[in-house]
Amino acid sequence: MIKTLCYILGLLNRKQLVITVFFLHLGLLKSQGTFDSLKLKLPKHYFNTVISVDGYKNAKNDLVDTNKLLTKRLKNYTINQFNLSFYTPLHTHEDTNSKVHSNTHYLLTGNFMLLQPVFGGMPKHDIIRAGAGLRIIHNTGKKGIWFFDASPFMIKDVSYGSNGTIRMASSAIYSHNFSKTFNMRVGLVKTFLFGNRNYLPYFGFRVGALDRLHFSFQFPRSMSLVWPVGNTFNLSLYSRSQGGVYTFSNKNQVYYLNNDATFYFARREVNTGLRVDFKPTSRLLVYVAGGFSTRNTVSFYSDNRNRANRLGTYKVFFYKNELPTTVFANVGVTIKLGKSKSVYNNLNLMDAIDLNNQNAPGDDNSFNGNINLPAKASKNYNLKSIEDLIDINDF
Amino acid sequence: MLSVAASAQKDKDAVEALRMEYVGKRLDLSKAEADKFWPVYNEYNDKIKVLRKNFRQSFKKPVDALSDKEIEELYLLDLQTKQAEAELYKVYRDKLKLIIGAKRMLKLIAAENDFKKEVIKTIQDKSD
Repeated sequence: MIKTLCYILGLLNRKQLVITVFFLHLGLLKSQGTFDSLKLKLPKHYFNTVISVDGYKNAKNDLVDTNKLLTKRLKNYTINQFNLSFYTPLHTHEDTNSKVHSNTHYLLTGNFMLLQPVFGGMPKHDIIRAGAGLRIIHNTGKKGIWFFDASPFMIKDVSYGSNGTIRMASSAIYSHNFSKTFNMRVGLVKTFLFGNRNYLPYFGFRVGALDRLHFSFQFPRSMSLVWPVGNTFNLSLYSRSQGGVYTFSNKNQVYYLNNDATFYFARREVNTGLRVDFKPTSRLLVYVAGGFSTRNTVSFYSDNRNRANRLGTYKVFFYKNELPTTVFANVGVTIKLGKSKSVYNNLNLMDAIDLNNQNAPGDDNSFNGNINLPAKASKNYNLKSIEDLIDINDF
Repeated sequence: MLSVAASAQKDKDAVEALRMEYVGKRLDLSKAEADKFWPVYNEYNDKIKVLRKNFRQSFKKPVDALSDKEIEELYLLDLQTKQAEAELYKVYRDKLKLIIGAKRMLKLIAAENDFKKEVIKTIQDKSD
């Protein structure tokens, strides 16, 4: 304004005025963007990259129905399972211009599993399952979270070089946050968790805040009573379904009615037990669980035979055995990498993180812990832990 | 080394959670207000933390061991950090004021100051 006045008064010519206004404007812009000019790296996503390793084993169980010829041959059964999975954010879209703060998260997921079904009367089989998937999580910015997951995977019995099978599991879930202490979820899942391809409704609810004692029921995945003890331990009583459909080599002539190179091995069980999560640092979580494996069922069926049986149902097993209750052990390590944007008191994003973790990558139903939820408030602080909060002038 | 850093980060996260809990209780936001307030407030705090961390980490050598050029650079960085903090404060306080109003903005400022006082007092008590 002063410059304009000078120009009007004839103290500056037009060219001088243009240059002066340009530099004045540049200075104004600079003063608004000192933060940007420092080019500091801010986290782009609300989700961290998380890598998990999970090991599972149940105790050897005798196959009880001895009337069946195969039971006599197979004798007993146990399972060893090793899982490596990860998810990583690909892109985060934020809409901060509208009246609500909505955002959409695109995550890449991956899962590798080595499964060893061990039957006493047969050499060990090594089955691998490997897949990569995409999940989209949309936070409406109000009370809802939409969750979509597509996880194609390949299953192969690598012991005898058999052909693999490609399958796809998927989920579409809507989660509604009524309050910090009550949440409901509904949706539809396509899963092989129960030893068959199932399209199941998803229904879940949580009572209690995520960082306090809470009960979570998530059909068909799990049910748990979780007690966070400070920021280091989490105790939980839980029940979780587990299983799948796996390509199985017929090298040992288990399917003796036909000359199929492979058939399908299906299993399911429900694990109920106690789990302890130990979080020594903000980036590492270790868990140990043990309990009882119930509703333990193994079955074999021939895809060729069942497809040929056009008049009958596809679900025909040439062998099925329900085993008695046994015990299991489960251990795992979860690592959080990179930095993420803060989600303190942001109920929707905290729910989005929990929803993502409750639905493990792939068609795997292990729970790798809510490592990326905000820490629980603690008064156990020291000078080092408050250095970013306090300015020297505050003292 | 990494483990020590990760452990310190865990403590920082817990204090930050405590601060957010403290501020949240004092503001008494409705669900609709909270949905709008916390993303903006978290974003502001993330930026401030990155600024302060950047400045803190620039002081790796003792001042006497710095070259003249490094001294100039650090002096400038100090000014820029303070200026950026002030600019962010203005921009984000205006945004937050639109969400919760001027009266509760003052409550927010009071809550932040009270929290600092409590933290300082606790640390002083511990050191006595």
